Amino acid sequence: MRLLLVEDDASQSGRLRIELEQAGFAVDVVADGVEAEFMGASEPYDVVVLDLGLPGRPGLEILSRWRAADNPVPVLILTARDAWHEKVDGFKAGADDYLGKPFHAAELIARLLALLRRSNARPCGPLRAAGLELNEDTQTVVTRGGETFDLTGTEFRLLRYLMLHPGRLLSKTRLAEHVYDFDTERDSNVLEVYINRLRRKLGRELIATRRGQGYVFGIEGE
Amino acid sequence: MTSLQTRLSTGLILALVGLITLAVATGGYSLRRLAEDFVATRLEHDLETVLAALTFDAGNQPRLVTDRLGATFHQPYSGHYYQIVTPQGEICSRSLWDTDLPLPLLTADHLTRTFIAGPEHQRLLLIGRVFHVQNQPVSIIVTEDFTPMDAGLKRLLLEFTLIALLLLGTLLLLQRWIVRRGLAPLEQVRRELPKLARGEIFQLSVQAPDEVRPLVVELNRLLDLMNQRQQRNRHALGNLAHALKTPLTVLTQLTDQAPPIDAIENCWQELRQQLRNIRRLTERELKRARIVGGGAPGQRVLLAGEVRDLIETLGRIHRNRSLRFETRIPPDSMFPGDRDDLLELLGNLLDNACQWARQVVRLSADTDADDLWLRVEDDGPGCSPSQLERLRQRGVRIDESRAGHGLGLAIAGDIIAQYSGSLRLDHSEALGGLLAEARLPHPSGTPALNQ
Repeated sequence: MRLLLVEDDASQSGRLRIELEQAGFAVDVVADGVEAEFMGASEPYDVVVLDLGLPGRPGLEILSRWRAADNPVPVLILTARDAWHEKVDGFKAGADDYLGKPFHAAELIARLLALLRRSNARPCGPLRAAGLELNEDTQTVVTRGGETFDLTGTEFRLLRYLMLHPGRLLSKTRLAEHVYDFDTERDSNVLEVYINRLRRKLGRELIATRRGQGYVFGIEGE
Repeated sequence: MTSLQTRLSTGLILALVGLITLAVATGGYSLRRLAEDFVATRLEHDLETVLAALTFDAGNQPRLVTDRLGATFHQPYSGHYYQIVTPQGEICSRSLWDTDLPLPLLTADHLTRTFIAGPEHQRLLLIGRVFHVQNQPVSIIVTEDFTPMDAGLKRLLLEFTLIALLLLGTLLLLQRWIVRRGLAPLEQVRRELPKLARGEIFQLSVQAPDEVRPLVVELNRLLDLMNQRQQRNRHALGNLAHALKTPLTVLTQLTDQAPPIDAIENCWQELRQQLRNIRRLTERELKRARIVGGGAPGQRVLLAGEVRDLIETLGRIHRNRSLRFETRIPPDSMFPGDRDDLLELLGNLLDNACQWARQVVRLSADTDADDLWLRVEDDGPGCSPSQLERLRQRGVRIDESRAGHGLGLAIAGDIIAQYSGSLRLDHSEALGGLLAEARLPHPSGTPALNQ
């Protein structure tokens, strides 16, 4: 899951980035309003965490511009401005959720996961697909046989994206875009390595390869 | 021309000078006309008398029976002259002595009336006509000296002008006095303003005429409002500073020395507790300082529109709870205050209700002549009487584990207090949960409804 964190305070965004990455997000941090608007409009993020008081361009304006350009990316506003009239204005501008500072990282992550669940039209509870059950808190997966596997960060992100899109043809580029952050070298061979690792853990038939096109998750497993 | 006094005086002077000039001009003209007509009428009679006294003898020589004419025609240079011209000869009055008058051209069909120059610098009004006596054309003129009439008229106009000027002066003085007297209260206000600025007084005295009193009252009200807000802010900051010192002291002590290994967990616990305290205090006090408060005139918000946005927001915040919002708001209800305050008040009350509600949150508004009533109810578990009692003491949390709860009610209470209203917490008869009812008085002079 790729996440854009727009926050101008470096010490806050630094710590938050670590927590978000631990929660399985590929995080890009942007501190400037203009750059944030550009990044949000050009990269396929799954969710955005947006501060309101930004240098360059105010957060609400960025959000309005995205929405005016029909960019549906789920946006959570994270701000110290948590008076009700500010919340009302935030939602009016097109926010999907609103969290006031100070906050607990756990609450932010829970809200982000809820947002993602909504944007993927998924019911509450753990993510289930193709007989697998993904535990997002512990980053583990339970197979149909009841076996539990620990996952590394990249494995977790990759598997979650696959499980959110079962039965769909996913190109390597698309997978890489949603699994890695902007600065990571997107080498498709590395992605293959991770696919193979998942296959080894969960069964070869789970992820089918469509040569030259990409991967399909979960058809054979159903 | 910013001085009221100068402006009023100038206006009055211009108006009066105009009026006086008009009066002198029309008066002078009318008087002269009247005098002229009067003298002319007399001259017509003289003309007829002269005509009647005229006869012709057997030799067709004109002859005048002078004893029928007035004595003034015999007195030299009296101004009363006649002159008769016939084909046979001319007869002049004795008063003319031997002077010849420059005669205008006369006709037979109407009287000629004109001014001519006479002897001795006289200005003569002349009436003349051509008659036919015994088939002979006879021109007759009579005159009267108009100079004394001219002098009299001139004197009269001069007197009239002098009186008018005197009147103008008196009126100006009177007007100046009235304006001074009328503006005296303003002058008093003006003298009081520097005192106000220096802090020697806190209010202006309200003894002002009706036209100025609203201004003074409004100024006083604004001063009052400003004072209140300043005090409130100072109070809030003072509270905050004071209240923050306790947790800060504890935190300082905690970080002064590394905790013993076996007490680390306690230490974390304490840190978290103090952070919670700081967070709660800042939130409450800073929100309190941000309340605008009532009192500004004409400050009103249409309730329905703001509530719609707020409910939309709350619906999104609690969207995974499938809550149902019911609003019963008369379409024209107005909130007598600031929009942000309204949203903060309703936001806190509704959010609190949302956190406890099972399915339904209801907001209803009511208004009468004096107050606006806002009721927020939920169908949650409600509170026991003892819990209600504790809730009513502002700022007490019933459930520490639910974020914002209790604090929200306290902030709502703060806002309502700023609008001189009251908050009632009770059991909701209709829904079974908590009822929070805010009563907000309309500021005096504001209608209850915008109808």
